[in-house]
Amino acid sequence: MLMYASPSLSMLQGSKQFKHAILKNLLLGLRKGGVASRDMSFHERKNAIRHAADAALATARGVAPCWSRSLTAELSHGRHLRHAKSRPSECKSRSKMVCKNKILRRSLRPRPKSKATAKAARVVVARTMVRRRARALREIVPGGRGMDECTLLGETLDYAVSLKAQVDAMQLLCYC
Amino acid sequence: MSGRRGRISDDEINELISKLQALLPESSRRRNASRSSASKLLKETCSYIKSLHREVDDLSDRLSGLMSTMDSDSPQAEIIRSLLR
Repeated sequence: MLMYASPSLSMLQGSKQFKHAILKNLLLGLRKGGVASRDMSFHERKNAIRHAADAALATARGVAPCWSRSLTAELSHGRHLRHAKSRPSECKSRSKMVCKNKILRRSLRPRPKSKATAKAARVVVARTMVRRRARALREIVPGGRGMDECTLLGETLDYAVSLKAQVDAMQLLCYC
Repeated sequence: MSGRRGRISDDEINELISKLQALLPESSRRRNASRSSASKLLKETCSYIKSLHREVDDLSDRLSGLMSTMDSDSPQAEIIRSLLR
């Protein structure tokens, strides 16, 4: 039995109700944040909007998924982890990729003695690669660092679906 | 949860693969239909989430711009203003 964040992932996908909940929360949050005030600089306003959007998303999703609880915790600590990290990790990823390819080639080098050994070697490489990719996911899914691989994948699915809904909700507001 | 060593079995990977495949945007799905490994799919998923983050960022930019022209007569500014009242 997979440790999914929530059994209702399929209900979440494309759900108008979810999108509207995010939008409603966003409007409430923007109002509360005094974002309409003229005294803010562009960046202050943008950060307030992003903060409100993330809070709206986490609230609308509820406390079931780990990523949602983590996101709420991050927001209350006043840190914008995902966005602050997005640039440094882009620089890192290129050097990581070079390393990864070298390691991959090295691990593919052993000459298998039989078909069974060859297959086993491939499985090992595959699992290694999965683990490496999982590491990257941990960085971008809120709370990802504390999760085991199986939970991480379920959370990633849930998070991606929810993010899409957040984008849709914000587009509704931008292009109404 | 008891007895789990924190590693995924191949069956579980396969199930998540199909779910992730269904989730990713159309273009990636067609390319990977026949030979998507778990690793490739996770990479796609990573890129997908990052692109969604960028979209949220861009939309925040746009909303910030819209709100700073609050005294303008643009229909969007008017709508947003009334929504935030």
